[in-house]
Formats: sequence, structure tokens, C-alpha cells
Amino acid sequence: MDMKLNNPVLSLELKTRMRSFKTVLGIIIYVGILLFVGSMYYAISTETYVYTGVEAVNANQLLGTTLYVIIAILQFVLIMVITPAQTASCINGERERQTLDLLLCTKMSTFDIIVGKLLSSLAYMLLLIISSLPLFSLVFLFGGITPWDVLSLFLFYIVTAMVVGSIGIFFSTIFKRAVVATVVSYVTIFAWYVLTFLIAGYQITMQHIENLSVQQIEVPFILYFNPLFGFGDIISRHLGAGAQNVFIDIFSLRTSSSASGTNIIGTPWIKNIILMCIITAVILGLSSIRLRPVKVCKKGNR
Amino acid sequence: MLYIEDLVKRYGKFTAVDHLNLEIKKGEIFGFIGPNGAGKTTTMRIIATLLQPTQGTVLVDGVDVIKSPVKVRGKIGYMPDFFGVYDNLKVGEYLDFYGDSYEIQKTEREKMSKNLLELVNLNGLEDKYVDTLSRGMKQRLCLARSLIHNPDLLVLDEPASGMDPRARLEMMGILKELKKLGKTIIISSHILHELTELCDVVGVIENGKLVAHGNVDDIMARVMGRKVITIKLLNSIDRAIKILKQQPAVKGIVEEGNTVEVSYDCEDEELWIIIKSLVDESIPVVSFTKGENNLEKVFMEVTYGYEAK
Ligand SMILES: Nc1ncnc2c1ncn2[C@@H]1O[C@H](COP(=O)(O)OP(=O)(O)OP(=O)(O)O)[C@@H](O)[C@H]1O
Ligand SMILES: [Mg+2]
Repeated sequence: MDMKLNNPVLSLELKTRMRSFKTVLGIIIYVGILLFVGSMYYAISTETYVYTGVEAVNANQLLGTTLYVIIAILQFVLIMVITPAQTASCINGERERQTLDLLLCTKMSTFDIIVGKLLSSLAYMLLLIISSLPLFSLVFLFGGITPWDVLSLFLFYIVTAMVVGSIGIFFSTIFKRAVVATVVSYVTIFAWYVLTFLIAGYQITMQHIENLSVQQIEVPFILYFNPLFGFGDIISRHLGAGAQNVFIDIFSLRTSSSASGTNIIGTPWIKNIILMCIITAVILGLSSIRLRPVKVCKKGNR
Repeated sequence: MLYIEDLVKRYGKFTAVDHLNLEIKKGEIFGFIGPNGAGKTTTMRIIATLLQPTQGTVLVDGVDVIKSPVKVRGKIGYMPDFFGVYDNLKVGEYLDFYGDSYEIQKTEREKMSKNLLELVNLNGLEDKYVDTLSRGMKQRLCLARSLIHNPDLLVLDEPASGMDPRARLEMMGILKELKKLGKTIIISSHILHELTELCDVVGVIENGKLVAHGNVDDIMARVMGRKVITIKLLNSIDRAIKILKQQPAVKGIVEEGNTVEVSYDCEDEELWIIIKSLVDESIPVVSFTKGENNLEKVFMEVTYGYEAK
């Protein structure tokens, strides 16, 4: 088996990115935002606790977990904003720089090119996420959150970055201008989130109407397509055994037997990750077909 | 080596390449000449598997560009008319990257890029950043890039455009080297004399059609045989051209500001008839010079001849 692990585009991008000042600046700004929000919260809440007189040990734990939730949400939002912006300029950027033809006339397939572009963006996102690690270690100090929690959170981040990044790439093969591609990516991602919730909400309402006696209803499958749902699930889990997925609370749903954690595939956030991987694969496939300059014509199609 | 049959490319209703037929033999250097918008780039992009033809067949070394584009890509080296380079990348890394994308082994491509940099006179610049190179250097680097996988056919789209005369000469020297190495080359230009020394065969393309095609010497003889006069006028250019066209001796007219270049086919002793026809119609002739046979104009004339038909 001659499995090709080497991706020329990826190694090129890593090389040029690491030399770019923009990369360093990006990290500084990213960590800066997290640090600013984190310390703002810390400053406000310590004051509040002094006034309300919460017991010291509990206060620390509460502070730690809330800080964790705040940073986790903030980072989730940042990743969803930054990744599509990164990838939405990758193909049209090549076109603008007039290097696209040079890439396409090599032996690399359009799929190789697109995967290389996505991986390099993911590598950059990973760098940002890792650079936030010192902040998370601060959370460990307060207790309540384990390194495993943070690791699974980071995994979830990367998968989310992968799927929103591939949406950006798809639109960068369609729109000539990066700004347009970025905006359309944002709109698409937003619509995707809202629509899945709306459809789920509709399905839940219908079930309630049909069967008034039932207190709790199974999670509609479409919710597993929504990264926000998976994110809610993962954060709730990290907050401890008592905490339910916020969305499950909101909709007053019942997760199937898996909620107890016996079946790992059935865990909502894992299901979510699997579905996001499938979506990514489909989008990448579509993008590489779109980028292909010459389509093999079918017989009789003249 | 290259076989093009009945190639058509349409953009909507506009036909950029119009039933083009062409064959280039192994080791031949083919000059592809035509004015702006003639369809040179379009044709070359189709050969380079970067553009879908509307109709027709293109075979590179017997391989169809539509059916097996990847196989064709390994056989040709393409240099576009306009191209860019990446920021923050060194010359050595640049060639290494493209070598890698052509699936060439690390040691092989290191050897190759060293040889190529020597060929294009860029040796010793491996560690210079690509975006800091001069335009002429970038063009030579791009030529080296198109050779990294040792292709049999080179498709060069105006490789010397935007270069100063000295750089052009250098580029032509490099191409002559490649000719010696036995490469088949198709090279486009809108400047004829740039190609006459280098090419074996030239084809003139105009409005997507191949209007002249043949041995360089034949085409040169055909156009060199013509004699040219330059007539400078004060005004009434359009009227003058109308009158000149009626003269049987006049074979071609090229208009340029207040001057017209007229190619004629008669004895020098009969030239006065042409000027008399103008003066008789009270066209204000300022000067009347027997022109040198300017090759750039010759090219225009080949195309003029076509239009007049
Ligand atoms: N993507 C496109 N859409 C519509 N028309 C196009 C497109 N690309 C090229 N054309 C048209 O096709 C014609 C041929 O263009 P082409 O670039 O092949 O000319 P050329 O011979 O290379 O000219 P030049 O000397 O300027 O490079 C031009 O009239 C151009 O306007
Ligand atoms: Mg051109």
C-alpha cells in the first residue's frame, strides 16, 4: 500500500504561515481577548462574592467552573468566526494571486489541494487553541474541571473548526471575492444553526400535540447536526453529573439510554462529532469537484 | 507530440477559438503569434488542461487532455502569461514545493532544482525570497518551475512579456538551450521577430482562427517580399485610406495616428502613382518615405491580409 500522507500544499502553507507576522499577531489578539474577558469576569465576581458572603471553598469552585464556561463559550464563538474567515479566502486568494493555475496544472488532485488548505487552517486554529491552554490551567487551580474535560473540549473545537472551515472553502471556490465568500459562509452557518433548532422545535411541538400525556420526548435527530447542541452537551457534562444538557433542559427532552454514558457512540456530542465529520467530507468532495478545471465528459455528451 | 483537431472554445455567444487544427512534431519549436485577444492564451490553457474546450480533440503525446488530464499534466510544463508567487517563500523552497506537487522524490527534485537554477541563470539565489525577485527573474524562475518534472512539451504563454530587451535576449538564449535538449515547445507572442530566430514553425492566429501556418522561412519570405512606404498626413486619414485601397498596387494598409503604412507590389518607378492619387484628391500629405521592412508591422499585415479577404 502506497498511502500518500505527504500533502505539498499543507507543508507550503505551514512554512509561509509561520513566517508571516499576521500569524503572530493573530495569536496575540486571540489570547488577548480571552485574557481580557476572563480577568474582567474574575474582577467582577470576586467582588460580588465578597459582598454576598459565599463560603470560600465553594466560591472558588463556582468561580472556576463559571470561568471555564465563559472561556469555553467565548473560544467556541471565536473559532466559528475565525475559521470560515480564514478558509473563505484560500482558493479565491490563489486565484487573485494568480497562483491557482500553477497549482491546478500539477499532478495534485483538487481534493489534495483543498484538504491541504483545510488542514493548514486547522493547524492554525489548533495553535490558537493551544495558546489558550495556560488560561485553562488557571481554571484547574480552582478545581472542578479535569484535564480530560479540556481535552475533549479541544477535540470538539477542532471538529467544529473543520466543518465551518470546509464551508468557507466551498464558498471560496464559488465566489471570486474573499469578502463575499466570508459573508456567505457566515450566513450559511447561521442559517444552519437556526434552521436545525427551528425544525427540532417544530418536531417537538408536534409530538407534544399528538401525545399530551408524555412528559419527555426523544431528542429529534436533526439536533445532532447542530454543533451548538453538541457543545451544550459537552459543557453540561463537564459541569458535573447533576448538570443536564442545557438544550435538553430547554426543550425538556429525554435522551435515549445513552445519556447515562453507557454507550459512547450514543452520547450526543459524540454523535454530533460523527455527523460533522460526514458533513465535512461531503462539502470537501463538492468543493474539489467544483475546483476541477476539466470535467471528464460522458459518452454521447457532445 | 501535440495534435489539435477542430478545437472550439466559446464563452457564451463569443467564439474565442474557432475550429483550430494544429499538429506539432516532437522536437519542434512552434511560434504562436497573434494580436491581443486572438485566442492564444485560451488555446494554451486548454492544452494545459486548465480549461474545458467546447468542442474538439487535443492530444498530448497521444493522450487526450479531457479524458486523462492528470496524465497530460505530467507530460507538459506550462508557464502562464500572468502568474504570481507566494509571500514568505524562498526560491529553493518554491521549486521544491512544485517538485513535490509533481510527485518527484526529495533527492531527485533537489538535484533537478539545482540544475534548473543554473539553466535559468539564477544559481546561488536559493535562499532569496521569491517575492523580492525582479520581474525578469520571476519569469525565469517560473520557467524553471515548469521544467521541474522534466516534461516533454513546454507550453509557454508570452514568456518574455514585460521584459526589457536584454532580459528578453537572455530568455531567448535559455529557450535555445532547451531546444538543444530536444524539448518540444509551443511559445506564444505578439511579436514576430522575437520568435523567428527560435522557432521552426509559426502559426498566426486571429479571431480564434489559424490564418497562416508554416515554416518560419516561408512565412518570412512571404512577408519580407513586400515593400513598404510610410505616408504622413496632416488630416483626412479615413479619406486617404479609402483612396489608397482603390489603388491596385496597394496590398496592405496599417494605420497609426496620422501616418499610414502602405505595403505595395509594384516597381519603385511607379510609386508616384500612389502619391498622385492622394494629392489629386487634395489630401494634405506631409511626408512620403520608403519604409524599412519593419517586422512588427509585417505581423500586422499578415492579419490585415486576412481581414481584407
Ligand atoms: N473567461 C472569459 N470569459 C469571456 N471571454 C473571455 C474569457 N477569457 C477570454 N475571453 C475572450 O477570449 C478572447 C481570447 O482571449 P485570449 O486571452 O485567448 O487572447 P490572447 O491571444 O491570449 O491575447 P493576449 O495577447 O492579450 O494575451 C478575448 O477576446 C477575450 O476577451
Ligand atoms: Mg494571452
